[in-house]
Amino acid sequence: MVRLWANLVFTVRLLRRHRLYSLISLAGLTAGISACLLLGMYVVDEVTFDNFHPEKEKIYRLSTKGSNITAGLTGLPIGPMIAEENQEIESVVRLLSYGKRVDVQRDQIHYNENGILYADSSFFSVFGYELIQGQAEQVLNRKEKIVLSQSMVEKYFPEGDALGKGLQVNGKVYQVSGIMADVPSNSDLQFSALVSMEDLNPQWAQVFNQDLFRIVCFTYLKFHKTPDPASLQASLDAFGEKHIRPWAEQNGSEEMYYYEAVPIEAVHFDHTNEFDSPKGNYTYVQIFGLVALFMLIIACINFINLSLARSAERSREIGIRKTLGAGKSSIRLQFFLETFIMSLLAYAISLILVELALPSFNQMAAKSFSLSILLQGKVILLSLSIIIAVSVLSASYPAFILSSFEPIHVLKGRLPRLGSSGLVRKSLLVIQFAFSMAMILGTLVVGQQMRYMKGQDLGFSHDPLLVYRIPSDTSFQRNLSGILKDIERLPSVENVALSSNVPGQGFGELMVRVETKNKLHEATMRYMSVDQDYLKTMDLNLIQGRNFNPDSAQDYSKAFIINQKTAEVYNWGSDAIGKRIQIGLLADDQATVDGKVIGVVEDFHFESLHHPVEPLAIQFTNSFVAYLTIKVRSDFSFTEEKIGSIWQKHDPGRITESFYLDEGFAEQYKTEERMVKIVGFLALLSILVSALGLYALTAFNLKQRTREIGVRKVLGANASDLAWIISSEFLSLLGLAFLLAVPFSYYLLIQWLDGFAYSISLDATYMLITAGIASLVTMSIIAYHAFKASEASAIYALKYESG
Amino acid sequence: MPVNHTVSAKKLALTFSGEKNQELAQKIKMIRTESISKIYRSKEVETIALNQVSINIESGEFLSVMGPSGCGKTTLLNVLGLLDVPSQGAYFFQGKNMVELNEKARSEIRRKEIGFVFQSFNLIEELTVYENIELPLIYLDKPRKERRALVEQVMDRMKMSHRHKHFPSQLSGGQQQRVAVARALVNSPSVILADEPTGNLDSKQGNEVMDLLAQLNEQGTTIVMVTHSAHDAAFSSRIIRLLDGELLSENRTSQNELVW
Repeated sequence: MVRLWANLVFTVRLLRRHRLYSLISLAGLTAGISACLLLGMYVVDEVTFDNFHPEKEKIYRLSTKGSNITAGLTGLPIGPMIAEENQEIESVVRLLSYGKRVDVQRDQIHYNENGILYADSSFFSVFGYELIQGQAEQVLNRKEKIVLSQSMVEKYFPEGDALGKGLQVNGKVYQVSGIMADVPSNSDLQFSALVSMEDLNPQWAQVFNQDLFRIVCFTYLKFHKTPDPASLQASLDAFGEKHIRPWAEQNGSEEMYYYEAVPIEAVHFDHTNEFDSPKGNYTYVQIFGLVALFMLIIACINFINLSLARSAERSREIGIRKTLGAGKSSIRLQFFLETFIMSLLAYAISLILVELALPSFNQMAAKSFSLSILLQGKVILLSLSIIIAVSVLSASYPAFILSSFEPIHVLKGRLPRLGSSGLVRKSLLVIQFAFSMAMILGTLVVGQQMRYMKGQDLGFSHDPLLVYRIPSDTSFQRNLSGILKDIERLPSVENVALSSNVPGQGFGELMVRVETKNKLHEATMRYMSVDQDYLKTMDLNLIQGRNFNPDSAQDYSKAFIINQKTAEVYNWGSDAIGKRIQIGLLADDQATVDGKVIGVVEDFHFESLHHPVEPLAIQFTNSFVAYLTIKVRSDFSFTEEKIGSIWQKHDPGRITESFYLDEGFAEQYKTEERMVKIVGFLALLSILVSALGLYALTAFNLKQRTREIGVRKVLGANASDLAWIISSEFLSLLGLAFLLAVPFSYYLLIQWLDGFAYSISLDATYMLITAGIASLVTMSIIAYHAFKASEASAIYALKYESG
Repeated sequence: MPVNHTVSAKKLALTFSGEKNQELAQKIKMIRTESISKIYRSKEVETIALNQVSINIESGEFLSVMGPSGCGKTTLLNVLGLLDVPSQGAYFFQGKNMVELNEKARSEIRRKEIGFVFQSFNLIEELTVYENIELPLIYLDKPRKERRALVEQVMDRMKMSHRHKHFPSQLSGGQQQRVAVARALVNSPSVILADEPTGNLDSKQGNEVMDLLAQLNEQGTTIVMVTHSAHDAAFSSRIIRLLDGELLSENRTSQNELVW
């Protein structure tokens, strides 16, 4: 304890005496630890998704696998059917969305909600979501009960007390039977209210229960004890053969569905499913984890290099201590304690930095972290052990070098020759450079890919298109024509169109039959329905045939417009008009809609550039639309205001949701946007740390060569000559680092770019820019030192080593 | 101004009074070297820093080592201070052969028995006067209370008590060297090795330091001092001269006679 205190005092004095080095050392460590803390929070949060359920190892989610579909959903009766067969299953919870824009109202408070789920009554006994008021078994055990999250209570019951009160959902009154804490952000299931599965419309329930292939709900199974994966899969396969195959045959389907159970903890990274909640990206988690580790290692390397650089200055003190009888171990202990104190200080500063950085980091990473996460006992203990590890890692090598100084040499003022340490130092520098260059390269390429995607012609209008979500309730849909007429009348509005989908907001997939070589061929196609003004509003180019005609009854039921890609895939060429397409398939080549192609539009990107353009079938409709797209000529905010008041006039109390189509489309690149920001920020940080390290090492190098430089100066060398002398060594190290960084990061980046259907090609430009940035940083640091060395007195330099 | 040395000699003689006086005094040969040589080898050049040097230093003696630059004075002092090992020959410290000891054992003897004073003071800049003096005691693992008592005592003796919180950079050269002497003294070593202790001081400060060393010697501390200065050497009881690593001559300073 005494020694720790004495060392603390000593370290603080050292820090004060050598302010610049201290600042650089501390800055490097702080940067590394801060980055590590932030990324660590991100990584831990991602890998602990749905970790809070008390018996999580017993909870599995079912997914459905068919020849052309993999979904994290199942048919409504599947869960209970499986449970009936399998005695190891304790309970089943099915969750079904209440709808996307559910009309929720209490007195004057009226919103559209999309977080309401139908749930089985076992919900709270299976999951760990916290029920604050109400009995777990009773809150959902019969009709017309609703469990609200705390935020919902605050929204609809500002007076606070909600239990037992009524709330209107899509016109039906529910009684609040329970209140739950808001769903934790690290849960894949995000919802704001639950109603009993018994409230499901009986007609729908009947349709869903009869059609095993109608995949509509999440199905969670809870087992009595953790199941054996192999035997569980075997029993699910057996279930498929026993129940699903006969049903499929009976119903004349060529398709067969199988089921798989995914542990709830693995669901977050399970990307195989369609129609699922937004998922974590395990690659990014791995990359961030790796980067966090690297940032810490870089900080340690930086610290080591700085310590070695400072060892010349420290050598005298150590010489004295050794002369006075200090053993190697006591010198090492002293150095370790110094480093530990430094790391601790850096950690404390990091906590402040993290607190300052959290708002922007949360925004970048779409998280809602707070500093309190880092201040829990367990986390502090973990951090402390990391700090100790960092100290040991950073202290051991310099301590070894410092403690081996021979006092008779250093006391004469002769700088110790760090023979073998030169290689270590150089290797460390190369690693540091390589990492920084990899980060620069990554930032350049990821950033360029983002720019490329955003700059890509998506095939539809470049003008700003204002999109409104249309509430689904029938009363509103009935009002729609009135609203449309009023909006069309606004002078600043050029066009108005209705559609079931808009680009960037998700497109359904349909089983279809299409005509190929005079035969009908089963396939899947993307699907949307639009009104007659959609093509014009969106500036979609018709390249064959014609648009829908509102006066033709035939067009409503039997006409399709397809995209170019469809014509390409089915080899229709310029002959697409008149080809048959069926949707709503029935047996024996019958279908509810059997229509013909009347037009072909140029391909446009209705999904993000991660995906290639797929065949699309567009149908004509004037009902059941979800989006209103408006082309505005001018006065955007004024027009928006006007449209808002029109909306209010026709449907008082409704809160409208609108967005610009291009912005909505760009939302799809959110994960990548985050990646760019985080990687860019880290690249900057790592360059900074490396630059600081380089700064110190150059200083060290110069100090070791004081005499040589003094002699050169006496003989007439100027700043640029000196710069060349110093830089030749560093530049070759830089080159080596470059050779290390490029293949590794190119490999990772190619993998990353593979995730996009449309991507930039990796050429040498990025390498050149990276090399350029790295050389520029290196050369400016060296130039600074060379200039300083050339300004210094040569006499001092020559006297310096003569002792 | 040379100091009469008989006082301390008497003191010592008193310590070893009685019949065994002579016998004991023989045993207390503080330092004895037998033909030690130190040869530095680099790839192509061999430099002989010390060549077959044999000296005896008695307990309580004040020995000066003189000679021109590069004659091997400092090398000799380093060997005597166990900071360096001779290439050849034997070195006995208090009768024990030092040549065979490993670094750990040598550093332990250094800790307990030897105090160092350097030309450039070699105080640690980040430590206060008090802490600098305390340092050897820490390495001796002395308890805190004892350390305080010893440091205060020696600071008092060196008249540095009022400056105990100062840092070296806040002191004059002479004061710094006094602190260095205090540090060398605090663990009551058997011998103090001083390497040009006045080399960085002006003559007034230099004299103060020399007076101090002479006083210590008077009180019984053995001192070996390397110096360029005939003036400083005059404080000592004996002078040896080195040239090119070899012992040239040995003369006792006129006014001082050894007891044994």
